[in-house]
Amino acid sequence: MSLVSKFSRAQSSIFTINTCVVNTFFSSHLNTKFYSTESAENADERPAKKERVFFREQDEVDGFKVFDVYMNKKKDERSFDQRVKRTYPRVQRDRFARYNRMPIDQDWTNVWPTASPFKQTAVPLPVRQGFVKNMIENDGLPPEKYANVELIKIPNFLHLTPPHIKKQCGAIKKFCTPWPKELKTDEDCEKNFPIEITTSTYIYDGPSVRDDRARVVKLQIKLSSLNLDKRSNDKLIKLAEDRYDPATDTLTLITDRCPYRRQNEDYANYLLTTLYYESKQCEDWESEITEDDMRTFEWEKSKSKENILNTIRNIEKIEDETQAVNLKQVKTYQNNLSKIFNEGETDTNILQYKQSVLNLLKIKTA
Amino acid sequence: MSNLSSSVKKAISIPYRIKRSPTDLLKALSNTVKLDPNTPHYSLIDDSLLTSINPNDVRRSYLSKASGIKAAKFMIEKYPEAFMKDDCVPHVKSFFPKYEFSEEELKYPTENLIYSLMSWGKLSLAYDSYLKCKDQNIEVSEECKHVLLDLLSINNSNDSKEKVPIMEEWYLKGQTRDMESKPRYIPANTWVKGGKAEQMFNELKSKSAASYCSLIKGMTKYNDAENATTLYNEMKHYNLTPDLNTINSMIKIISLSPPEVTNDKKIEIMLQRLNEIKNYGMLPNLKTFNTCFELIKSFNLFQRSVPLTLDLFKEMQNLKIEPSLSTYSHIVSIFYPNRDIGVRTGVLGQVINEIEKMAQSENGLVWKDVDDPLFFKIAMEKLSLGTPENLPLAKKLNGILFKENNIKFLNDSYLINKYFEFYLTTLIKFDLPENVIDEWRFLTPYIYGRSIIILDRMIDFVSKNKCFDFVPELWSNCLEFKSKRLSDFWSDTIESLLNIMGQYEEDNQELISKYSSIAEIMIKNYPYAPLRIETDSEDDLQPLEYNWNSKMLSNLFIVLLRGNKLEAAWNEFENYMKNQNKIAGELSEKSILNLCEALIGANRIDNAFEVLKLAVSLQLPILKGLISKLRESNLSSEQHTLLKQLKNKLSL
Repeated sequence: MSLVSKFSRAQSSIFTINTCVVNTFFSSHLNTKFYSTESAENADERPAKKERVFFREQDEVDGFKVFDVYMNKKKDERSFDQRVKRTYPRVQRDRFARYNRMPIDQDWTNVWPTASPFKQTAVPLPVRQGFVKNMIENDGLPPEKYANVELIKIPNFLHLTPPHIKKQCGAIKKFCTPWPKELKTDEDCEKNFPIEITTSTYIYDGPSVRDDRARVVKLQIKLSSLNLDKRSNDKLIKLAEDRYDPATDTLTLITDRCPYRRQNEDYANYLLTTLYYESKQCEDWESEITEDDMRTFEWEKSKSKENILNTIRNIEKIEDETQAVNLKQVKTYQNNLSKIFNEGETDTNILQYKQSVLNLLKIKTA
Repeated sequence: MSNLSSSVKKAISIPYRIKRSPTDLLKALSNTVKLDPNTPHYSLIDDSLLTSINPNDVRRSYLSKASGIKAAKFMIEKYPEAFMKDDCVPHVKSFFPKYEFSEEELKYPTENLIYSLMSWGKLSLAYDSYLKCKDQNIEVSEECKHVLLDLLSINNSNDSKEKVPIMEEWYLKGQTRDMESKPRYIPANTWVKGGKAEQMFNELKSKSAASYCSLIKGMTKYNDAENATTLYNEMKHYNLTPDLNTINSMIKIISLSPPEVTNDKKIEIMLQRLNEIKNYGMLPNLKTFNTCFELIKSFNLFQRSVPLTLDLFKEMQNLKIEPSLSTYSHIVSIFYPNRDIGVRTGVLGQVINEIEKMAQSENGLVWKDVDDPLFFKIAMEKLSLGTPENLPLAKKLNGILFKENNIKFLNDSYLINKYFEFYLTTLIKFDLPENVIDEWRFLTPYIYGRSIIILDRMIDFVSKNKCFDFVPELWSNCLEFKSKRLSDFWSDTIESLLNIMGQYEEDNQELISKYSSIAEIMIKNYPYAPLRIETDSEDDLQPLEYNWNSKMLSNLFIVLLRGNKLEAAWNEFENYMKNQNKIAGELSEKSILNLCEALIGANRIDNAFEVLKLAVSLQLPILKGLISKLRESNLSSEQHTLLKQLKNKLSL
């Protein structure tokens, strides 16, 4: 382009811009002016705001209309098969992904050294995750790993493969001491170290290294290892309330009232010691124990024994108490009755009880 | 509680726990993680399309992160009240706004105030408070004055500097290292003369050796050789004993003496300082020897350098001081002062063997001196200058670098770029193509971002060795560089790549189709005659013109036609006919012949005649063959007569 033509072009462009500005300014100004005069005369002609169209009557609660966002949405009355299927382009292989360049003999522990969210580019596996409604959607297959949020949501264990564990255990082995030879089995451990203390340490990415939950201490012990007599054992169980689990015979004490773990551990030990000595001590009022106070049903001390002995006396004509108690039918009755009280009324227990009563009363059924 | 159980029979021997520091476990675990050449740095990991590959992108990404940190710090300083909530256990000082001393607090100066000002790095204010104390006759202990002098000397009479974000430091350090590595670099004297440090020194009632030493070390740090020497002599005059570090720094500044001081004189001063160490009853340390070697290195070509170095090294062995990496880096520089000298001595081989022994020892390579990172770069630089015998040595050195976590020694952008540049240059010079390509794939782009120099060398190497399979990959490497505006680079690259592709004569269809699509991209994206869009504004980026010549175009036609892209080739031929003035030289015979044959094959006789016209104007010897081929095809009567006339002309 010659200089002259360039100059003229530039000139014209400036001119056009100027005229343009002037025009728009005038037009806009004039328009508003016209509009204002008109609107003053008949303001009703202004375009009214479109009202919302609802497809069913709005609900009313206490005189107020309930606003429902979905109500003005047209209901799709076509059946599912007739609807237009949304199609997404199938994802081809990610050409730029790292897994294309990975050698087959690479060391996975270097690729995924620590815990991290799922990265599709770094995982050379055709994993899929997600929900498909039916066979129409995505050919009935769960979505691929590319841009798949489901795979990021779930925790993965790609940092804890067997080679990882082998490598890391090898690295920290130098800090480990040998296991005591005397403790070969679990029973040995339980015998020699009956108390089990569980604490948790919390590590996460945050401004503080402290965590309140780390103070909680859980102490567990099997009651059998305390070598208590029956009365003390019962007393301890009563004192412990729901802290004792009869199924496993374990006493569990959880302490968290002190601010530090060590203080809570000391407190748990103190609780156990107090419980132990308190249950060993026999108070005067403990002799006044009645059938209702007992933890389990004991036939020997119950009224049932008296009644049965009376019955036996009438049927078998045996006066001696010990002889009557040692009778076979009495023993089975005793067992079955205790079962009903201690274990609950199950079908088998009731049946067995019925049989033992029939035997006892010598009633023969057809 | 265990004694409660009745069944304890044997005593159980539980071993004592092995003592370890709080970080020992973490260190052991981190040692299990080795470098994965396929993974970008963790801070760059992103979606595969967005991960930065080329060095410019990486630099931009790191520096923008650093500027983000700076912006955050700025906001913290601007609105300190919003950032006062302290959830941190333990408290991290740098996460919180700096403490601002109010005027009220500064009104009543005390020694405690001076200490707290110093702990917040406000040294100027601390000095002012000290002066106020002096005016108001408030007593300040000598110890406090010493600490203030120490800090002022270290910081050159300024407030202590803020730390730069680690990503920025990587490039900043690289920049200074680049500047320092240039020949004839003389560090400038930046010491503030008569500044607060010197004033503080004059304030001291009794000037102890320690106060002298602090000031001297400050002066030597900021390269004030003259004043430091005067002060050192004054110190000696008062019979005060300097500490070892001061003498070390005095040796360091000998190299800054004025140009009239000869090298012999410098050596004399150095020996004098060493004798002083002996006279004061001290033993020299590693730093002493390293500074001596550094001084000898600065002589460049000098007769006495080598024997003196050997003497000093022997002395070091006698004192049982283990040399560090920097010792060896200085020795290598002394033995190989330039391109030609030192190649035959074989010192590099010995040094690398020593380093290998160090690396294989129990502790591995240990960081002992500030200049340790220089070793790998200097050794590789000297290896790249040498003979092919250096190749195994270079590989050995690289093996040591990749062992354990030794790559930490390349601790800034300059060192890592230079080291790998020299390493790849050595390989390109001396090694077989398959090894070079393997190493290229291993190192780039994640361990070492390809620089334009090394990319250029690689293209040269590939074209010399005719590595046909590697061309597509190399082309994509070039594209990853994303530097469309470097027109010279692209013109050269396109020329050499087209040259190789044009030479390919085997029959691998996959490769041929790849070549033709590359050629298509080349002419489309890097044109010699771009379509100019005329806009009113002058600022718009106009498309660049890339330099093409006739040889490149001929190769382009050959490659396109081999890949059966006749349409593209024809379009380009038409374009060429329009812009013939932009292309120097003439198209080759082979390309014209190929194009003509392809057009005849596709039964595009009119187009073939156009090509024939060009051949006639160039008076090519293949003309006769072309005419006879054209005559075999279906021609109109006009075309027949034209051909006849042509043939007659030729026969004449």
